Amino acid sequence: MRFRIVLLTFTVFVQFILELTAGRIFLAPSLVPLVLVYFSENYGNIWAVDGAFWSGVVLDLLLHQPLGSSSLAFLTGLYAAKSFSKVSSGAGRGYLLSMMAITVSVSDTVFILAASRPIGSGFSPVLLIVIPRIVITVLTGALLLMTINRITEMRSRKVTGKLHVQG
Amino acid sequence: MDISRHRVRNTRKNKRFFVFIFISFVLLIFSSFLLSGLGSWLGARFSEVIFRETSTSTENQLREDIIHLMLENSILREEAVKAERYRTLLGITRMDNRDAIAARVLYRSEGLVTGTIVVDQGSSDGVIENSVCISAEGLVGVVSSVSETTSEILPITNPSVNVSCITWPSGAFGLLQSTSDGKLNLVHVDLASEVETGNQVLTSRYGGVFPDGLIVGEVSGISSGDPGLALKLSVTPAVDFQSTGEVLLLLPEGFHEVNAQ
Repeated sequence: MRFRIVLLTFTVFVQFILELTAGRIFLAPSLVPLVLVYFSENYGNIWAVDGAFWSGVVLDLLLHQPLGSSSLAFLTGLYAAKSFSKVSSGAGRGYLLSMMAITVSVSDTVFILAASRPIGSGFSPVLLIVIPRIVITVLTGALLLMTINRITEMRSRKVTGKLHVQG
Repeated sequence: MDISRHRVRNTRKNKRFFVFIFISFVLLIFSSFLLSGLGSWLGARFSEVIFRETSTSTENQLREDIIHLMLENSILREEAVKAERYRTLLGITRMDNRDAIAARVLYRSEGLVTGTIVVDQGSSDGVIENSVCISAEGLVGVVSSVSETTSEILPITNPSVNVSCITWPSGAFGLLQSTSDGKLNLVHVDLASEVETGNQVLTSRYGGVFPDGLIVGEVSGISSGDPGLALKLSVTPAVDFQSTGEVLLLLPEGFHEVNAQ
């Protein structure tokens, strides 16, 4: 449980820093939905839903966005991803990346519509910014998955190596 | 039995999800009241309690006089340092009848949707909605909402803010609009106008909200807007919205006389 809280807190912090740096230059990848998808697949809906709400509230406070806009966006994105997972029978990296892409696309769209002032004025060509953000986020997600797979492979090689030596 | 337990668990999960969605909606609708309105009200009440006068003895009277003189001293010192800066600000407005309130930018929104600026002056300082906001560089925007100790400003780069402008020295009138990504364009400019790149863009006397003569920016490009009907000018804003620190909030002309009546 501690690991999940630390992971989400760290992700929110990194997202905040990215928005202030890369976000000002071009676009920052949306990392929080990646972690929420990971939670929903491995730890169940409750962790993902709670994580979406609280991380959204904290991000809104940090980035001075209208309170509730990020949490609404993350929750909606999660719902869309869960609906996709019900109709698909997938597994593996492609399935996870598709879930991430759907979560990011829906959450960013809802966020822009909810956070723009006046409300709804985001329904304009500014929504097109979601497309490059999905690409950046999916690439980041693919990179993370590859890295995690590599680390897991190396650890399993170490273990099987030891077993072989002992055998 | 297992199926019904599974159904109950699913219902609980869905219920939790929709509860959080509802709470997010409530926060979204009432957040401006919660954060700026309520927070501002609480801060004002807290200040009243902590800084209210309690004693009427001679010593306390002398202490108050000393504090008053110290404050006046520091204000005069501060004004001496900032005099040049404010002279520049007031110099570009050409408005002698307007009262102005100096304010500092507290924060601006970041992330996918940027733009609103919050300053540290509110209704208790005399700010009203639709007050014009300027900086030393030029026009910043208009006050969109006011709470007790803070005010929210919509910059001119927000698509909902339109400004009637005139170019100088070419004298072409047009309407300043912002695209959804914050780029400024002066539209409906007469085809026959002799506007050139580098012309200054100032607020015009039409429109009713903004006083005339405020620097908005500079013409950076000319293109045909509606084909054959008008020109469209790209405008580089004079103000750097990311680094603006001090602003002036201009009250309407004769505001204090009207209020005194």
